[in-house]
Amino acid sequence: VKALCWNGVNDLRVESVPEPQILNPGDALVRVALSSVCGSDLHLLGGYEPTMRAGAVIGHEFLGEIVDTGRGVETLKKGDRVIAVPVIGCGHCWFCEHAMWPLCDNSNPNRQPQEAICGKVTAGILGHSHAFGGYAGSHAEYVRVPYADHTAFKVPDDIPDEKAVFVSDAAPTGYYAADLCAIRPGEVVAVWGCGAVGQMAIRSAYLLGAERVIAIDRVPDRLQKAKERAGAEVLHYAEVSVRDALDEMTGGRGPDSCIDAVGMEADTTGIEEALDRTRQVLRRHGERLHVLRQAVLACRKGGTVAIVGDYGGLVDRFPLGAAMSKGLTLRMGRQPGQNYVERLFEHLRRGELDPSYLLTHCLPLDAGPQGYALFKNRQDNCLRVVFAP
Amino acid sequence: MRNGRRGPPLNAGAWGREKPMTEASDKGEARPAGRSSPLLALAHWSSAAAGAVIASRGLRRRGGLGALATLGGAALAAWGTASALAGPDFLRRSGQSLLRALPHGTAELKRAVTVNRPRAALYAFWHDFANLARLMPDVPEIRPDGERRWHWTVRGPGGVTAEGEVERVEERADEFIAWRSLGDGGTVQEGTVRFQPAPGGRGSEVHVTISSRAPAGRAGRTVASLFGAAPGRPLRDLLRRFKQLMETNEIPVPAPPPANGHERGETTP
Repeated sequence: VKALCWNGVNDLRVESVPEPQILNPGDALVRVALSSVCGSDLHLLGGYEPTMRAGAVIGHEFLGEIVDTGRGVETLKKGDRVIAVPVIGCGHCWFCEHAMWPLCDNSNPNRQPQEAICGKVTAGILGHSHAFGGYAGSHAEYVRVPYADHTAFKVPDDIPDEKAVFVSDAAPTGYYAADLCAIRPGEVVAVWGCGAVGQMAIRSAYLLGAERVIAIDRVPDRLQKAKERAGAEVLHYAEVSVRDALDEMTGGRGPDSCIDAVGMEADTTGIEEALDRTRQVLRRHGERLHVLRQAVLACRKGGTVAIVGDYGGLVDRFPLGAAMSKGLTLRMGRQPGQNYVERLFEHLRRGELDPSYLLTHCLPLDAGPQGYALFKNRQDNCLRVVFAP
Repeated sequence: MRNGRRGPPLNAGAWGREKPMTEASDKGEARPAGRSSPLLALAHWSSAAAGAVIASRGLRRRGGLGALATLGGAALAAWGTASALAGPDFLRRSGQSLLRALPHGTAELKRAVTVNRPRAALYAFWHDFANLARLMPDVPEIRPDGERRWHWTVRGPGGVTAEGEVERVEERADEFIAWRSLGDGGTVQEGTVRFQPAPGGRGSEVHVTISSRAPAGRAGRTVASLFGAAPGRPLRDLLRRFKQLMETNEIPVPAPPPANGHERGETTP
């Protein structure tokens, strides 16, 4: 079957791969209808994520139809229209039982890489690197979903594909970011990054009780969408001093919570950016911390900094002293979408959240490499490219 | 994994004030510390000469004082000569070599995992050693051979590569199982698994201890596996599979390795 495979840094190819099979009792086989690009794929593409192997099928945000299930699957059947959460939960370990799905003890078949990097093994992820299990992803005609009872979810009939597909990753990641902020009435939330996750974080912060949400980016179209579609006040970081503006807008207090929806490939301006690019090319310094540094300094004393942008390795020059002195709460993690799927479907149904505007480009899978180029370079006001295999 | 042949790592406290030796100097590849200093060498040669003079004077004297001077002088001469030739830390190094040369036949390996299941279920699985084949991809067969004995076989590309017997020697329901494994070449391993409740309602802790009594040199290789079968198969992986199977009824598998000639393709570190 057809699939979009990683072949090396910035080298994606559409190839013919063996059809995925049911390998375990808990597996489900899904015929993919829509499969979206994601910012975290760009880290795989750029070679910033260790343990990638040539031939890996990428993609992890998708919607499709169940075509087969293992004998252990109880909640899904052939013909069901489903989305799957990319972070696989087994549903039975202590972490899954306590709703900490991305920390699942069992879903990652590969012990050693994560144990070396993190000291402990975390959950397997669809369409990611070998360290996260080496599971084939969804940019393909078919994808195998392990532990399907706890990873794939039936989509209610009245929710259309182009909305439901983002309940797979962008929407729950944004919702999780807002949830991490433990927002109380009257609070102000700042969101760095107005990509799909940032857009969802803005809406989610309002849904969870924020008084005001301020969004920061430099792509005019994304700022406009953050303002018009998500309802944020926006700051163009190349045009204003973000910290001065945030102070000004919050009576000098700073935002009560700050969300990093950017991650390791944060952009900045001027000489610092040039230095960062050089370091990255030389593989001397993988992570760019401008967003986090700014968030820590901008945040209200005693506030929360929530990180949902992807980080993969080591960082230095993190202002830990400032976070310490200000008594900040730092919270982070990959999204436990299993906790939010039903709630998000409900928000979608009531019209309180509409992720369909994230889908700016729908392309056939054959156009995979071009789709990623479009997404990476933010051409043509692209927020999300979605492939229809 | 601990290797039983080596003594405990020696540090400065035991043998002198120098820093612990590096791996390189351990193998004699690095230059012994101090040899490069002509001043030190001069001091050592001077000690040797002084020792020789004292010893020769002592020889000419009679009585206890003479004997003492002879012995002390000889010792000083020997230390000075050896230090000058081999470097000042030769005593420490020769001590380490001596320790390493001593036979160490036993290696012990301990690993633990927490499984979110009551310990009775875990005990029941482990009680029948034939079940353990599901946790060891390299051991396709563990056949019962009597009530408390099993015969295991490892197959490689060329047929049977290793086989042996494992015997359950002691057990306490839901708590404890001990076994002994008899491999080829006289390898003997003793193992125990203990099941105890994990605090905070987190299921059960499973503690495995394996002692390998093997001819020196083989311990490191054979201790890695449960019965001394499947060399190189870490116990950690086995316990992880045990947990996966007990908690979820399956052992997750990644995608099959990609075809299309990707074996030699690019990877990130």
